[in-house]
Amino acid sequence: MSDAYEVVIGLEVHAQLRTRTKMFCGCSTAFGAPPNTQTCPVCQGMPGTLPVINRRAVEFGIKTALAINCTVNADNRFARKHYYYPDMPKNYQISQYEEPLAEHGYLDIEVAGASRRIGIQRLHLEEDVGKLVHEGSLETAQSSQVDYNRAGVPLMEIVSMPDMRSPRRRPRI
Amino acid sequence: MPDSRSEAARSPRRHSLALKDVFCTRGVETTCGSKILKGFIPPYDATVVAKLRAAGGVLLGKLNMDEFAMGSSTENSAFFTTRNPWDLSRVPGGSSGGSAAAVAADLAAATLGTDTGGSIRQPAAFCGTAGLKPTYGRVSRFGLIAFASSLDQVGPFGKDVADAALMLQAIAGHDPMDSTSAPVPVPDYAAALSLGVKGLKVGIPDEYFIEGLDPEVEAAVRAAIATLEDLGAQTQRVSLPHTEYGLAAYYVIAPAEASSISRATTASSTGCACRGPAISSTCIRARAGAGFGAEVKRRVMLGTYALSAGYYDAYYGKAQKVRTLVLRDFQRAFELVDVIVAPTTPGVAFTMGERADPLQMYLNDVFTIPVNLAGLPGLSVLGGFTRTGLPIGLQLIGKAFDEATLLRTAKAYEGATRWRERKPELAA
Repeated sequence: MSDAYEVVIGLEVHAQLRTRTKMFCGCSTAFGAPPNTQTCPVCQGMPGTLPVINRRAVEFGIKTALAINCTVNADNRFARKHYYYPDMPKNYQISQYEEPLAEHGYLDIEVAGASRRIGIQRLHLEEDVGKLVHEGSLETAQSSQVDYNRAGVPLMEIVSMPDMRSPRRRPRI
Repeated sequence: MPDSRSEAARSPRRHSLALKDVFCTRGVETTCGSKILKGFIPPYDATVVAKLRAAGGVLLGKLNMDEFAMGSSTENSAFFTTRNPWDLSRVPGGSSGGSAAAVAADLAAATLGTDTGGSIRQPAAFCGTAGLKPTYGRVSRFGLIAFASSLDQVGPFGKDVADAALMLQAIAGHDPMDSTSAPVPVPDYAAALSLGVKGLKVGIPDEYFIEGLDPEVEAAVRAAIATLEDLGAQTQRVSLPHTEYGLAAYYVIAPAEASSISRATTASSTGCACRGPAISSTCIRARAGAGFGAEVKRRVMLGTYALSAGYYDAYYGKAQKVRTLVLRDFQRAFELVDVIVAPTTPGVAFTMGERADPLQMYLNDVFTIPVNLAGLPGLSVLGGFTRTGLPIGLQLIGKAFDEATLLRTAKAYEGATRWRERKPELAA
């Protein structure tokens, strides 16, 4: 790579929170169940349903936020992120944009024997989407089937500042 | 029904009830007045439906409405028109037109509707029933197909105020399935009914008696105020100076919220019928194009525009600020008075097809919309008739979670008048 360019890396890490139930309903998050057996009107996005937040997911998010030195916001706001995709039953993902769970943290990592501080921009909570199962290969499939067992599983998204200058400096979380 | 019936006879157990088709009912098709939900059979009951079932109410069926509750005449239903029982050439109001007409025509003892900008109170006024929009958060919205989530509220229609109180008693209260339903204790509404209005401070808002108000409606409301004074209420003028901006703010906020919900509706329920690799956005667009009526498309476009990058602050952000000003108006007025009395609508039921211009239709909600913006309870009670025999609605507006004062005031007024003795010929 030419010396004219500087490598600048920031990370956006999506981690599943190991709760027993989903982010906004009481369905199980256990992996490997037969398709669409861990769903309900809420995580299928049926008309008329409303989300109720998972207390444990918030607690796990706060624990992580404190571990990476973030400021936890007293007021949190959830928002709908709209896009069309068949594995997302509501046509929007409930996520956080303004007023995320936590902000302004850091993580100290060791690079070649020296400590280096990587800024953490934010940590927020959101829900996962379902899973598409294509009949045949992606290019030739004439139909796809959707498994909503994963739809609504709690995720936290951790966004770092663009503080890394080499792939070797990626922190191990 | 005479007032002399016993309290036991007033239990929902004895009542045959019906629901606006906006509430999910387990195993019963729920269309929201839209072709796009034709064939949607929910696997669950809305919380209010479950509560009415638990109270022993007999659910007769579902009632017509404007598509996705967007409209003021029920003419926007994708399926058929509903007529006003007092004059079959006129609309019953909307969007809960079926709920009001069914009560007025004695087809059901009481019904449920929803009110986002007046959709309970305006049809109650047009059909001469009692109609109550509770405080935002008083009644669970779980299982109600949303129009605008920050404004929608579930409420009852009754032949009289006591029936509306009974229905509210059955559906009110916190629901763990709706995080916006408030953990506020629910009082005994039946007990409140007999308290009368002696010493009650009643506000009359200057901004609700404006040019364009039908003289017969104004005369009826002024007469009602005099009746309340005769009953011992103390009346005084109050000012709600931002009233005139409410309508404009509403027509940014409500479509903005609706634009999100409608996308959700197109995606779910009956599923996507398209086959092949391109199953996502093209298919959903095609379904939405064919499935939605003109008014829904208009509002979704308005709302999407208002929320788009670069316009968000100018429209949605500004409208939210106006909303705060409207709420502050009410808060200041309620430092002086216990309840506000005003017309429900500027005019009475109009003829079918008369208001083809959407803006003319929107103006109909000018006195009801500010109450939704402020999240307060509002009640429309039969306040008289025009010379031609059309009902006139008297609107009472209360403090947050103070439905009891509205019911008590309306009941006292109802007891001092004989309007309820009149019935449409249809139901005689």
